[in-house]
Amino acid sequence: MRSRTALAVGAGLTGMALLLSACTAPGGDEENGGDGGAGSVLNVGWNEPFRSLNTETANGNAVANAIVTYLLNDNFVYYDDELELQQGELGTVEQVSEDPLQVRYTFADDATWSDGTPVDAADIVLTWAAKSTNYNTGEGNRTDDGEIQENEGGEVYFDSASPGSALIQEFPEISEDRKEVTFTYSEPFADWQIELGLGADGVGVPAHIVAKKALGEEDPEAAKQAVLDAIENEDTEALSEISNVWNTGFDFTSMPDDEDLLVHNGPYQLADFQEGQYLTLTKSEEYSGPRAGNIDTITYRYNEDPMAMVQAIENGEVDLTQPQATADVLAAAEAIDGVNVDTDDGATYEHIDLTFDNNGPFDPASYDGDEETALQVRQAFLKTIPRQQIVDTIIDPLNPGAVVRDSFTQVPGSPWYDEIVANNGADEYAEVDIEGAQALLEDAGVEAPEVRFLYGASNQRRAQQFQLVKESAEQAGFVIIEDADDNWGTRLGDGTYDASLFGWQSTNTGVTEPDANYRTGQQNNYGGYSSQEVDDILTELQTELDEGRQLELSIELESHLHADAFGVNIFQHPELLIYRDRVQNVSSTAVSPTMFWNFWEWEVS
Amino acid sequence: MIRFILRRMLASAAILLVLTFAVYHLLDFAMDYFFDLRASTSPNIDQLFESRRRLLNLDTPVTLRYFDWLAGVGGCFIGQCDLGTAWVSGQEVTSQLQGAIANTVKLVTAATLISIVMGVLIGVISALRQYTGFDYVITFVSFLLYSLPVFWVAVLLKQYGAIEFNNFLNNPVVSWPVVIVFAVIAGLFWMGAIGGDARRRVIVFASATVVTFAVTAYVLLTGWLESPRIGLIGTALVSAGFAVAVTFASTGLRNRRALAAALITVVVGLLLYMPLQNLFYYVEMNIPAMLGLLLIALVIGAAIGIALRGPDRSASARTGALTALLMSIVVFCDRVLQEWDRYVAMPQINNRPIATIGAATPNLQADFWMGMLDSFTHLLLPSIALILISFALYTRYERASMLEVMNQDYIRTARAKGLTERTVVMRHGLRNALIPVTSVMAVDIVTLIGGAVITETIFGWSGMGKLFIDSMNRNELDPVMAYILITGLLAIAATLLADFLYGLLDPRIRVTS
Repeated sequence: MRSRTALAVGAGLTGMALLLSACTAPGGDEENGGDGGAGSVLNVGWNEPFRSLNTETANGNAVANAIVTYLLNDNFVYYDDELELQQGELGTVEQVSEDPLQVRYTFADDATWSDGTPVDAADIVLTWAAKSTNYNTGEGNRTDDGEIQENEGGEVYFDSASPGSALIQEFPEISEDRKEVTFTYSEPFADWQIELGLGADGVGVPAHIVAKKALGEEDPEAAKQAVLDAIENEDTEALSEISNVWNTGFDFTSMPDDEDLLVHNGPYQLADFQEGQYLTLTKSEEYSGPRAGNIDTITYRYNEDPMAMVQAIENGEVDLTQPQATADVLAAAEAIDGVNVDTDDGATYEHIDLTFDNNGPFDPASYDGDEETALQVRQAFLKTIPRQQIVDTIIDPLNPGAVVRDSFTQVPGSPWYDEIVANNGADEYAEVDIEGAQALLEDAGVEAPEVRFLYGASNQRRAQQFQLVKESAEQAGFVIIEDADDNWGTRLGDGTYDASLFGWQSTNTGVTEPDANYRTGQQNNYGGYSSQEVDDILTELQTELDEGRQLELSIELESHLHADAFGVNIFQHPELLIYRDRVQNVSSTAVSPTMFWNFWEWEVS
Repeated sequence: MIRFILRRMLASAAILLVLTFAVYHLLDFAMDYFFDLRASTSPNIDQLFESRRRLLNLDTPVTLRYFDWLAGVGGCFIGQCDLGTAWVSGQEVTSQLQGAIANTVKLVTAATLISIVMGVLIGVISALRQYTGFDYVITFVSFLLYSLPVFWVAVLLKQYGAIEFNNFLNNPVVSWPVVIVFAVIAGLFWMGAIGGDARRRVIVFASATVVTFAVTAYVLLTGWLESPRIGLIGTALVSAGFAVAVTFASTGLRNRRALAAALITVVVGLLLYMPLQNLFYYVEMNIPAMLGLLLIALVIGAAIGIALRGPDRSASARTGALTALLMSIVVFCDRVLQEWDRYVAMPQINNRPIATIGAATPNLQADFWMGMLDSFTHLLLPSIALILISFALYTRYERASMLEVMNQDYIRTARAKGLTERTVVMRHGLRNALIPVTSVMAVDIVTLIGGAVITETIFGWSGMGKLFIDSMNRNELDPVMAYILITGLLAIAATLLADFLYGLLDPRIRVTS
């Protein structure tokens, strides 16, 4: 028994040895360092994942989306780092007549979508029709948290609104080959140049894909025509379907199966998208324009923790990022070798708004409609806000030389800023004036008004600001009730707070931009502010083409806002641009899509 | 046995039903779907409430909505899962879950296994050396680890485990004092763990220090760390070491047949090394193929054990199979490490292999082996963070239960009748001491799957924990229910597994109906 086992084992071993001798290790002569097939790679760190290709909807209008679509699609105009408008590659915009204001968009001959369909009038007309609100049949069924529900039979609702497009009431004139479109504004409109085709928005989503999904029209030509016909004939049934697709059809949070969603007209294409992890763009083979860019692959890596992002930079996983600037992040980034840190004014500015329509301390309705009392309470509150102290203690360490922002419409350092600030009544709130505030409250006969103060709970900087505001306001006799909530964004405008602290991000420098914030009933006018004079000024500002008069109107507008104690502005968010040495030619601009503005000039070594 | 499983399955299904029913109602009661509308002064507030009510079907009584939800879950049995929708983002819960589950399973599997094995091992040694310096140090260290906040550990791990380590790989400057201190600590560790009289302790200390120093110096000086390999010789050495260790723990080295079975298994494994390299090279591998090969290896190891018999056939078979298991892992790691040079030279890696964020390197065009390596470099730090804490827990539990068992009368009896210390500890002590730890293990696995929220956030893994917290914050009932359902299922599966392990560990417990 024993010897047989040994024999079997011996035989087995011999067999194995034979087997072994017949083989040599494979793959030994393979060269080291495969190329990975990737060429040059750049990793960009960002805090919030991409969620929609349609940057014109209320939900899709976010920087996280714009920084991707800007690379996917060409445009007519874009902002450079000096905030000057530059001509894009899609074609040209020109004013053909001043009265009535007519603007012609001419598409370049080689402007094509990646599936070979030309980019033309149908695309821009669809974008205009959607933004104009002129084709909406109802107020829409937007739930309060921003979710769009299916439009029910025949109802048309495009989830977007833009005052400029609304002024274009007639269907535009379109050339035979659809390469030229001429829009006629019913009134002069100051910001005509940036109304359509700007930056990351481009011409919007491809009309033929929208029609394919909404109307089942497979042929691109027929699909484009179907969109144009539907808009021209105000065919509500077709428009209802189109608006459904336009509102939500281009939203996705991981790589879509549907190839149609990948159609684009710019230098990069979407190559990969892992939910919550990363999104990859690669150079588009179809693209032949001058913006081709030097980098073969650009990857956006997502992580909401700024310190994790700084460590990822240090470890080389991320080359370039713009985290929210805090002293810790700045110190950590500056301590890293081989990494550059630029600080500058960013696009976002911090401001405190008061609520006028919630029966709170700032609402005349609380004092039986006594406007004067409410105004005094508002003024008293704003007088206590320690703006200079906030800037000195919180912002200056991050961005040396930062100043208090005194204007509702202009960035410090912009050409009009000094003149506006000198005349807009901001000096009323320049210094903390506790005694003045107490006198106002006494005068108004209001004792210890309770102010519910809303801000983002997890945002440390806002928490610090809140503490400073609270200390100061309580000296004057206000009772400040802290309302720190991470869902502050969804609560804006719901009337559950009396003062709010958050940031507005500018997407362009147009003089008509303030409209949404200050006009009665407008989308961003969360405090329910309403003033006939301001509405009139905004209306005039929209149609004023003369720059001198625009400046005068801006000063008037801001004077009213200060006099009515609408709120105060505090500072421009400092912006950090952190990038490794291997990246060249990166610079930031204060408007969306921020540092991506010149992606085609980027180089990596 | 089958009746037992069936009965348990039925009981589990009933428990799950009650659980989901209760939790659904509780959550529905607790969640405020209108939290954002409550105090709104919006003029169309009625419509807003109405549309929310319609969206979430709130006019239907909660019990009916529960059964609606249950019907969707029931669809899973016929391949049409409908776990509802996360209403804020409008995303299907099933699509949310896919990525989350995959990431969590990847994250916690290795961490759990390693922390159990290490924790039990150290716990047992600590108990056997009760009230020695070694015991005190282990107690101190495990309490220290247990009380570390994970977010802090994570940042430190990233700094030293990834950034500094990668820097070191690119610019290896060896700091000898650190190496010497490390070698001395290792020497002290082994001295404390092995124990014995003064002479033996000195010998152990000296040899462990010298060996550690030599190995570390070899690793650092030969550039092994920059290009780690195991190779045929390394595989042979490591596997032979495993064979001896497994035999020692399993049957004792006195059982020559078992030792021979383990060593022959290693020899057969080494003979198969080259053919396997060819197989790996010419055939694209995947996880099922790997598991299949592992099964073959286990069968071979067991067969060798059976062929050699010895005093106890099953003991030899067990030794052979365990050796084969460990050796398979060595061969697997060897193959994965062969990718190292190509991997670090990839432009996406750029000579910085250890990652701080994410679950995988974007756009890495990798085959199975490099994909594995990439997963490992991403798993390393979060796994360490999880292991440090779990490990401490297991050490404490195992130490306590081992101490209790070792003071029992039957242990004294076993010693009195002349059994070797190894048999007393391994067969009579450890086996019984594992029973309470098995219950802890079941709970710990479920906790790890649900509770790795902070680790997931800091290391950028979007897994189950993050899904749960985010959904809870957004008042989304359906994703939370899906989370409850899955953790509930896992808890039931884990306790079922624990029941079987009881049966294996304690002959008095019979897994029968």
